Amino acid sequence: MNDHPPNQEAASNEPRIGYQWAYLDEPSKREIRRALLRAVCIPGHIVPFSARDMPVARGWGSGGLQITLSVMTPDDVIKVIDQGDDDSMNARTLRGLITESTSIETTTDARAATLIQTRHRVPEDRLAEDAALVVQVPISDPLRWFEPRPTVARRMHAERNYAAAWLTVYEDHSRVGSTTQAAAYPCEVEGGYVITPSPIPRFDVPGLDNAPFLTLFGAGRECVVYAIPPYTRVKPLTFTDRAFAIETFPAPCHLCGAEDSFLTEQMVGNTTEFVCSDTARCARTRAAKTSDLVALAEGSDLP
Amino acid sequence: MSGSSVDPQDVFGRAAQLAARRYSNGAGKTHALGQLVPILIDQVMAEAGVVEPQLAGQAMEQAYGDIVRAASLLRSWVSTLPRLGQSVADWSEIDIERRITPAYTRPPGGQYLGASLDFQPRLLNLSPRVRQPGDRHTASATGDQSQSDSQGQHESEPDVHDGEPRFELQRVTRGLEEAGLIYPTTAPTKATDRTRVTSTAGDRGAFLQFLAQAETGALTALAYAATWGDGTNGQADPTLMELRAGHLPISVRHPRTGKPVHVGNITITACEVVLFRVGHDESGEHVDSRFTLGIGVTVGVLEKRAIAAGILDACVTRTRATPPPGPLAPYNSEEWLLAMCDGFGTTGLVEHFKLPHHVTFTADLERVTTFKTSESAV
Repeated sequence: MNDHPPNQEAASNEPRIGYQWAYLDEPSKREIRRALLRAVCIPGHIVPFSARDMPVARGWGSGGLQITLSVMTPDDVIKVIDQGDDDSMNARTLRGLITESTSIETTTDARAATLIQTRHRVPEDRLAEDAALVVQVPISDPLRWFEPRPTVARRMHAERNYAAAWLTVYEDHSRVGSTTQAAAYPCEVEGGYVITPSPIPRFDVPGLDNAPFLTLFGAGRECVVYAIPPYTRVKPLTFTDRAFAIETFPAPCHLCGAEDSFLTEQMVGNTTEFVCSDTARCARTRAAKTSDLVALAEGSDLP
Repeated sequence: MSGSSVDPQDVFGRAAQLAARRYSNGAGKTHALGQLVPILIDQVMAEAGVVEPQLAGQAMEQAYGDIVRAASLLRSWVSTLPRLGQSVADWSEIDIERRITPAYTRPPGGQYLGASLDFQPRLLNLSPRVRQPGDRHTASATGDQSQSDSQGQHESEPDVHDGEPRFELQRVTRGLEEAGLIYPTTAPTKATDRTRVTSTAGDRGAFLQFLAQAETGALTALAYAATWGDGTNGQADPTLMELRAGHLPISVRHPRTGKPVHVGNITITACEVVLFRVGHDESGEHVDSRFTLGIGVTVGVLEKRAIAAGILDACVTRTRATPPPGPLAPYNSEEWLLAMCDGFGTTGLVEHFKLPHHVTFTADLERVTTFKTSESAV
């Protein structure tokens, strides 16, 4: 409705006039960092914070955005993905809001990023030890399905009362023979609290276990953060004689041939094909194959 | 929609420009308020269940901006009109202005962002004028449209297409249906005039019609409640499969010749939602993991209304097919939704507390004092 949409000003490298570095005021950032410190000290514990109203709608990554803006420094290199895709519309919007107020360096290479804001995926690449993964969270409490009252659920967490969650795992296996939980599979953190890893596919859950990087979860609409510190045990809730099953795919990636990545289904005419959800890694694999072919044609040895 | 070669700023800017054009040329241009707050006029028409931009504007003016009151003014006016006919339209007939498919990145036929403010940062523009004078037509410049027909006064706005191709698009859920992954449900082909029948319980067509007219805030809150859950029904995970907005041509049967006559186009938003909820089949013995299809439709480009209606239709459809034991959560119960989402009814009851209640209060007071006395007597 605006003749001059604010985004059009974003091309400049200078932060937006009238707003400070990284958008939020410093006391707000400090408050969020304090909540995060508490979250890191008590792995998996849901820590309330007073979520600010952000220039994105609640439920569109406002929690992740607040974390990113609060922990980032001018030296950070940031990657923003949605469903694994750097080019997704919401990832672009959030990246635009972050860079607009910071002129911080961005990348699509997960290995080069120090800070990765993500929705629904853990990148396939191995992240650096000093990297932090900021996860946007829609529903922060794994007990929500069993107990819709947050006050009661908090007490259940405090008492490690996860009977209902375990019962669901049991009922699924006895009724269906495997889990009915598609994404957001509940996980036990360092033998203590049970968290929802956000709606990442089950495929991504093993990537959080004993990971070298820090994972920070932010739910702006629900006004909470929680965290998994580096090298922390993250175990999906399952019985010792029932293996945790991740998603499998009928074919390798149609584009890059990867067999070790999470694929999404694409409709092509009346058929479907599967392609990497991690678009940057997929493109890199394809580029490497092309350069290998070029190298072969030129008679050099492959690395 | 995707592809790194496209400058994102241009994409979003273009979507916002299209929105500016769409709304400045769209729904309510026949009334000054329609030019100033076009989405509000769409909402009044949707909640009233009548496409009459000029009268919706007048109703808003008369109601001093109270949306539910304005919708109720329109509704009481509509109840004085005879029903002359009905028509069935398929959403494949929508002349697409916008089409998104969140479950698939590249669906057959493609996605069209169209007019959207979704990706515009929510930053208040502090300059004195948000919109330029050229953005909208002057008030009162439009001629008086015939108001004798109650339906179909919307004009088609081909300009806002931005040159996008128009052709028939396959519903993305068709593939799921063909693969047998959708729970078979009653097709809502029957058109029922909810205002002229005594009960619509169990009639999906009438329920969808009700959702299309439901009060926006209640609709949104209850769809949100469905995603929150009540702790009894297991996981209910909706996915928006497809959302289309555009212009739907409306034809009615000519009373003399019996031939269909095109009476106008209405701006409409329609969507399909699938609900993932592992439940039981009718026998209660076998696990049924099929998706439940929900349909949401609204007059105007009011996407949250359509999505919320789609989620609630899916919840009710699945619950109706295989009712869980025990009481139903409000968002799973057709009866509850019929009561809670009728803005005319809900605001009416809440506001009726302003009426004198001295008789009932005296009766209450008599009981309170009686029990107090008998307590002290013990």
